[in-house]
Amino acid sequence: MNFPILSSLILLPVIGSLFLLFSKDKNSSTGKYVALFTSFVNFLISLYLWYQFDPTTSNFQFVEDREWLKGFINYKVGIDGISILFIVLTALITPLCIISVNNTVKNRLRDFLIAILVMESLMIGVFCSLDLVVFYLFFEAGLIPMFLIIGIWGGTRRVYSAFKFFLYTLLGSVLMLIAIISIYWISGTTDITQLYELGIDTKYQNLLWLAFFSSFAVKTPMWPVHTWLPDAHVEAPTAGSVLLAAILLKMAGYGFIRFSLGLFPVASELFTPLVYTLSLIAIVYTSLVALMQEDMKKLIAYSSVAHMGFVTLGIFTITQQGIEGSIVQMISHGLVSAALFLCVGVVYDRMHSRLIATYGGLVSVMPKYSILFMLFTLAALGLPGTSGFIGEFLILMGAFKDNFLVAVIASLGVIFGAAYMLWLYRRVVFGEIKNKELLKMPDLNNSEQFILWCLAIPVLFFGFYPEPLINTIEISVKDLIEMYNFNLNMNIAEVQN
Amino acid sequence: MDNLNFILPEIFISLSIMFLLLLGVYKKNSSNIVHNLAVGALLITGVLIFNNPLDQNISLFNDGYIVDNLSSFMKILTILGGAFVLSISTRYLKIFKIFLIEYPVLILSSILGMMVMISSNDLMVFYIGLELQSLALYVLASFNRDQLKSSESGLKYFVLSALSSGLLLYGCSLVYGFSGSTNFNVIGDAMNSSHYGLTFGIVFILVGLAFKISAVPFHMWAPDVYEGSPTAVTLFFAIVPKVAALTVFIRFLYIPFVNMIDQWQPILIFLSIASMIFGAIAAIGQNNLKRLIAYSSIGHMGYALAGLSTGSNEGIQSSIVYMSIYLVMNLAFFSCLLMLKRNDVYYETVDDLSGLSKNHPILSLSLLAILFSLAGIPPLAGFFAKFYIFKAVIEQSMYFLAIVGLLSTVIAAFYYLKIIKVIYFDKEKEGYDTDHNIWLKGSLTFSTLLILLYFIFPSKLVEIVSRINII
Amino acid sequence: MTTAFFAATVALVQTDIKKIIAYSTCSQLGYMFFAAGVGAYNVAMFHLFTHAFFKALLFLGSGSVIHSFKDEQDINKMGGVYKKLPYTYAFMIIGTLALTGFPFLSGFYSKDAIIEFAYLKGNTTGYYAAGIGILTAVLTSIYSWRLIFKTFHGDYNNKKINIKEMHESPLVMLLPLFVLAIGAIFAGFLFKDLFLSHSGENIFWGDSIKFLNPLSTEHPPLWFLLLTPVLVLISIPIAYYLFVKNKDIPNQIAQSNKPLHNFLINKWYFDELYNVLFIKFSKKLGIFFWKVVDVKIIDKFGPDGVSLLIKRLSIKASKFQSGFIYQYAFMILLGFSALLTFLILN
Repeated sequence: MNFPILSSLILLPVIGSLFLLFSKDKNSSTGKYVALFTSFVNFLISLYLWYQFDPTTSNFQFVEDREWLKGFINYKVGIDGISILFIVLTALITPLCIISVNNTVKNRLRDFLIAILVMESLMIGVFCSLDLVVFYLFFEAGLIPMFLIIGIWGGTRRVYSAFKFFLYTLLGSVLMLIAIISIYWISGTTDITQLYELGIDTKYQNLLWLAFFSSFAVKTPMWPVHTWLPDAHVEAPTAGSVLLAAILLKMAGYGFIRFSLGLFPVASELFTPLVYTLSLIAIVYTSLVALMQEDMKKLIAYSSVAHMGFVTLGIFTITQQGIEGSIVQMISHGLVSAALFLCVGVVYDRMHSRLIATYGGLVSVMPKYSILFMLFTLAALGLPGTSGFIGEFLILMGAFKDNFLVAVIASLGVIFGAAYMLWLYRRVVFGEIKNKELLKMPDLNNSEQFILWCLAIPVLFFGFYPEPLINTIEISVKDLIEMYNFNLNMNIAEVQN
Repeated sequence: MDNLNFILPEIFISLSIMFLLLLGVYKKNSSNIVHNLAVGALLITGVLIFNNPLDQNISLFNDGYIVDNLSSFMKILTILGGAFVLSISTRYLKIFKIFLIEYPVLILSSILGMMVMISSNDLMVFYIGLELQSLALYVLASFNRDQLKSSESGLKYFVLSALSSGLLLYGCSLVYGFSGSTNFNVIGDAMNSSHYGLTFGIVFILVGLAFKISAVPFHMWAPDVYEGSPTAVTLFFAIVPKVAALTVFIRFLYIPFVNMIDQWQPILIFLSIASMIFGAIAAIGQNNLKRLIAYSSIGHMGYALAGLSTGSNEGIQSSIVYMSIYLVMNLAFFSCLLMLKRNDVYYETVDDLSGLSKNHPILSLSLLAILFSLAGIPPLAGFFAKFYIFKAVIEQSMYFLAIVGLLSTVIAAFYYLKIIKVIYFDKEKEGYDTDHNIWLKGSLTFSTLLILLYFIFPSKLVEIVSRINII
Repeated sequence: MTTAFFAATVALVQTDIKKIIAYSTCSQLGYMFFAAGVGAYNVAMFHLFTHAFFKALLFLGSGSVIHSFKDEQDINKMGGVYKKLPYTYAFMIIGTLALTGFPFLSGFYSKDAIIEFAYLKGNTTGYYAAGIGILTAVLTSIYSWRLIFKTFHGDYNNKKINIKEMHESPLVMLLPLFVLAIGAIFAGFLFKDLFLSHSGENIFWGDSIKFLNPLSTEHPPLWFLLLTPVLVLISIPIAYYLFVKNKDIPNQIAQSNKPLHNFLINKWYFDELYNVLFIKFSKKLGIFFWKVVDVKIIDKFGPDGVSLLIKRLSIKASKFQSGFIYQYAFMILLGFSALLTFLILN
């Protein structure tokens, strides 16, 4: 396949944003249509990519390899089973974000759409890149539009949150840059496929793993470097929160699988207890914190940290189920948390308050909303029949295989998850209407319904029939684990000699 | 008899200086013509430099003068810098009523001095070039005679520079005394670390050079001089002398002092770390943009010195690449600064940038790209500059330097972000004038596009610079 | 067995008609689990089977009552309508009889089978369980008849609805009750051999239940077999007396044993216990983690702390740049001597 389909996936949103840039009108709706059209086309291309993808092999497909810095770095992109799902997720969420902007962003609409489109390019680039430096470039460049989105269109404490987000994430990542350059120096290449074959010398793996970990841990976010996330989520505009939760967090999880496991197997084995501990603390701790939140967005933000705790747990079980579960959980969480933030956005648009105390008894005034909100609440807590269950279940299965105690504590997290989500739902939707203002609230309008149903259908579909997802990732994960174990055993053999 | 063809650029520029000076004195109101002719002269000099053969080391005048890849490349950088400065500063000078014939002549003289410095292979030749350059710069700093700040900055620069030149000259004399010659190559052969005198001499010289490149702790003149000089001159200060000073650093460290690498490497590492950290921290509280850029330049020079301290060809090349990208970034930034005028008054504080994005979207977008590039965020050019430096540093296993460098990047990112915040997040003020001369707009567009699109062809610059091999 | 006892005691004092039946369900489930516990799985299944009939009958019947009372569920606000709601009354009586184990109705076979097998176990637990089982059966009878008497007999206590407006539920509601009533009466007798197979053969279950030890095929002594039904029968007039004739006695018992009464009406304070033990604790932990650890510790030492530190350093650095030229010159000389010293020492 010679047509550079991946590069076009990356470039198309940028081209769309250029169109927007050179249009004169600041708040026009034609700009919105251009953006929507571009992102929708991108989504169709990504579906086509998925359709064309061959899940029976774990080799990278649709690879493009061009010289970039002569003799040093090549611009190399390609996908395998692990990355393609994220690309489709990104391509799905972005048009939905753009539609949601209808109701939320009032000023400087054109600039906002440009920022979202540029973000989409960068996010897709992260998942496609097959070279460490290219990956780093896309990874870091995504900070710029997100910073602007939070800072310009955000809430009251937006400046503090934007700075916190940017600097915290940057700090984590600079260590990764040193690690990448060191890898080049040690192995002579930054090309991921070559590095998979060559492997990295064991004596460097620990430090390199830690450097990569520092970057991914901040971005996941893991406890204790998670404090930027609640601030960023609360202050960002709805579309910004959606992008942040649905996709940015997944980049870190993807990074863990692709790099920490793929490149540094020995170190991963060594540090698994550390990751387990931090993941478990994240799950239990943040669930309890989420329980006591009064701001809806903050609650969902903390719940994201908890869910990502499950993900990191699943990844480091290094079992077929664990890793598959974490990928499915990431996809599911992407859909579900996007939907939850959109739900919060819906009521925020009407009442301009995110506090739970403002609401109560919404079921009588907004029944359609209540149904969809219920669906996503149940998906968030992992009810069987929703995609959230598949992810959680597989992760727990993997965890039980690896370490019984860890799995038990993680299961506690499921209970806490149910606690805070259901309590939130009850306080907001059920009960009597205490606040008279609520009586005037209109139910979901057409665009809001469309967006939420677009998210609800995959959640339900994959909850009952996860086969398409699992089928796509199965071989790639299996070969990754094989490669991991192979490298590990080689190392043990070396040590014994 | 040496072939004078190779110093044709210098000859041409000296002749044009004299010609322009005479023209300016004898013809009334000839500032415009002199100005334009000066730009033309610079461009012709550039062409003449291209004329010199590449990949050959040619030495003239008893081995006192070298024409090689390094000198040609750096000279072209200085000439480009000078040409841009001259072409974009006309409006500014006219408003402050300092659009005089002396200005282009002084710039040309300074550039001549720098060209001599860059090609020097002998202590005496070097010192001549240095003094010529500095004298011109003293006058330029205080060019706006009616403004107190300008005179003050000129005076400060003069006094401190004299001090450092004195130290430098003393160092040169020590080195001559203990090695028996003023020629770099001969000195290099005579170097060995048993002579304390030589070590002392090296330190003196390095101090003088560090002053010129505004490395910490010899940087204290920079913020005041940058703030006080007329903005056009600040621009010149920020880009061109640094190029020359870096070249001289390279020459000194790798030709005469190359055997003493164990002595000077810790010094350079110290200078580099101190500059990076100080440049990052001190800029945070600054409100005046010119002062802020001064601190930012101090930080950037720290990175360039880090590349030098590696002792490898890659390090030198990465410093040169860094310098070129730095030149483009600063040119862009100052072009933006020169656009901040309203009713013939120039504004230069951070608060004046508040809400710029509402009234001037393109200008704000350019500033966004420039500031993120200065901070070193991918995919802009500044990231690549830092990337090459760190690559060279890590290849020599100097991990501490790399980590400090990257951490100070993060700290420095804060004040760049702050400016972006002010531009985009804050309330807007009145709009600024939009009638700028075409050279100003052109240079801003050109440099911003270079910064934005660098990532498409990053190896072009590296290929060119990789032909510069000193060791 | 404890579940059975617990639920029965709670049902004794509840005032909501559905709650009584709900706790009754809980109680019967206790019986089923106990049966499974002694290994008599088929007996548990049998009781489950018969229980389905009469419990469904009771619930739907109570639904019919509630409907007639226009959504009133408090039995204190009912009473004296047995003539007005004859069919509902009849079906409820059938259900209650089945539930309490009135001889030859379905509950009799299943519930008493459980108690028999408990006795047959022979050890202390068995006897204990059998005793509790019988006691609970008595309690069951009392509360069930309490429900009937308070709902259908006595004075009419409803303030909102005029008794003349009381009418029977429509056929669509009564028909299911009829069907279930048939099951409640006959299911036990008809299916007992299939499920219980006293002969020791296991035709119906086949291999679907794995018995660890085959069940004994003996029978307990006759007096034991008769004990439960007799007690149950006696409790009917007792309940009648307490709840219809002399309503003061229950009230007096309640008053003089207020703490016990409260304990029972608050369902042994289970919910409150869970609240204190788990919910309050989790909430406190949540707030602690949030306000103290997240805000005070992590943020203070992390981003906020570091940025404050850098800000302070920056202010110091600015002050350092004094503007005085002699200080600058001094710095140059100082730096220079430092470098020189360093070189000499090396």
